Amino acid sequence: MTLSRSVFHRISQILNHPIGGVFIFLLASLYNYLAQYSLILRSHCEPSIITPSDQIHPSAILSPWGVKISSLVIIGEKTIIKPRTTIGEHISIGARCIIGNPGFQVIRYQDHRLPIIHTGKVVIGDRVSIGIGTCIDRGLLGKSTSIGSDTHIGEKVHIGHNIIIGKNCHIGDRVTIGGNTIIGERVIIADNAVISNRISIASDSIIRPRLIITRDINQTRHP
Amino acid sequence: MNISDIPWLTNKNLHNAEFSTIGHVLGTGQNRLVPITSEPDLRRALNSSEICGVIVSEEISIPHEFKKGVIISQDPLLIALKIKNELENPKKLKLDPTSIHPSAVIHPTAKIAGFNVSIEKDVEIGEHVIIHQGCKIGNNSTIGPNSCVGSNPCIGDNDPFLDDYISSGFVEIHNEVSIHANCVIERPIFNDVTKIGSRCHIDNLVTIRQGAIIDELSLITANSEIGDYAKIGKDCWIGLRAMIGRGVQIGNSSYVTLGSTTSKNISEGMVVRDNWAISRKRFKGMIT
Repeated sequence: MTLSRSVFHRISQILNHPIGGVFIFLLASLYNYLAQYSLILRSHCEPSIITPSDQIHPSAILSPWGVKISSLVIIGEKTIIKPRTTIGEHISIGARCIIGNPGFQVIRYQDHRLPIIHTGKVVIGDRVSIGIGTCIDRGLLGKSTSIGSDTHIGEKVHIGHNIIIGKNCHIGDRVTIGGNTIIGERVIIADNAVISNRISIASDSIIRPRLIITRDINQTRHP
Repeated sequence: MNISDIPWLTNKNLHNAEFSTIGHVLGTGQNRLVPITSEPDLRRALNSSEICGVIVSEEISIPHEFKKGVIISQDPLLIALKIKNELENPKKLKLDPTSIHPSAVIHPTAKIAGFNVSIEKDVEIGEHVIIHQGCKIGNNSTIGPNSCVGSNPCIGDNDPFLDDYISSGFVEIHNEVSIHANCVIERPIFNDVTKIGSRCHIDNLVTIRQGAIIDELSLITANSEIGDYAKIGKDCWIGLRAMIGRGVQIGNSSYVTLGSTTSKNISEGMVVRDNWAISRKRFKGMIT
């Protein structure tokens, strides 16, 4: 299920309406209630799989359910891998990374705040390297956050929910990417850049350090 | 206590003054002595009725009309911490044992200080969380994995001598606060409070510096930094990778959009556009 920007804008307007807002809020609460039990049922049916060639630091914490790790994966200290995460081969994950944590999706209605339960997954391709302190949120509404093969991700990067990153990308340190963003292949995002949510960046683009991207980049550009 | 009563400060003060506490220039407390490291802070101290004296570095020139107490030192912060230690004898500090409500769910890898910590009902504390002394976590709050609550503030040039001085401030996390992963919440070095209001949501990799006050219902998104003694109003939204400067006050229901750097106060209901002028209406309501 994908919500386009116009649909989202419409939902935001309804939330400001007294009756519409209550309806949306109750709908979100119902979704949360159902999603909670769906998560428990689905994640507990699949025990985690790791291979003997993996090097996992003793302080790393992997969920016993719903994690699939392929061969030759290195996981650093105090890294946490949550359920519904699939990790490919030849991957290096630095220390203090959090993979598969729920994202930041909050319904606001008057004085109420309702964080939406994330039921999606994280899929990491082969030969990916992830720096220290990086957080990769799992998908929302059953979708996946996916990282393409041969991608390098720097330190303290925030990757929001439902983000799709193509192959051969390079993401620098302290980059922040908002949810539902699509990044093409061979994209270079330099240090400290900020990518807004719900936008798409074309393949082969280069984004310079400290830039703030708020619009789609539909053609290969070097902003 | 008078400045002149401090025996190891002879020949260093210009003006004597009576003070009752030592604190931060942006903090609170009547009759306090504050360390100053910049001209704007000196002007702030000059205009403040709560500050009765300053500890300044030699590079800063004192105006003639400055009638408050003055101590000149190469390292104002170190002098301030030494005076703080004398005023609040660490050996006589009250150490209440940590209290944890039975319904709190704490991951076995979390580290919680043994005293002056209060964890209330239905709190969830994630993996590898560190909670230092002087922290209070309200009902139904969640602290995400690898977060650190109550750490010493990042001050000075990482002077190793400063490590000997323990922060004496507090961190208060009110009810129904949700803090995601890899966050850092600093505890004030002086007797102030870092406060996070009820029903706030704080995303990954957020740093909240010492003395910051975040009012209820605010949302702070990933990789943001809230500066020392900043004040965020009620129902604010701080966008991705936003930086709120030291001492800045953000009014109620204001939005600081992604990537913004805020160095001046923001009045109520404003939308800070520190980048490109695009319509911010789509950010209202739901956060994605």
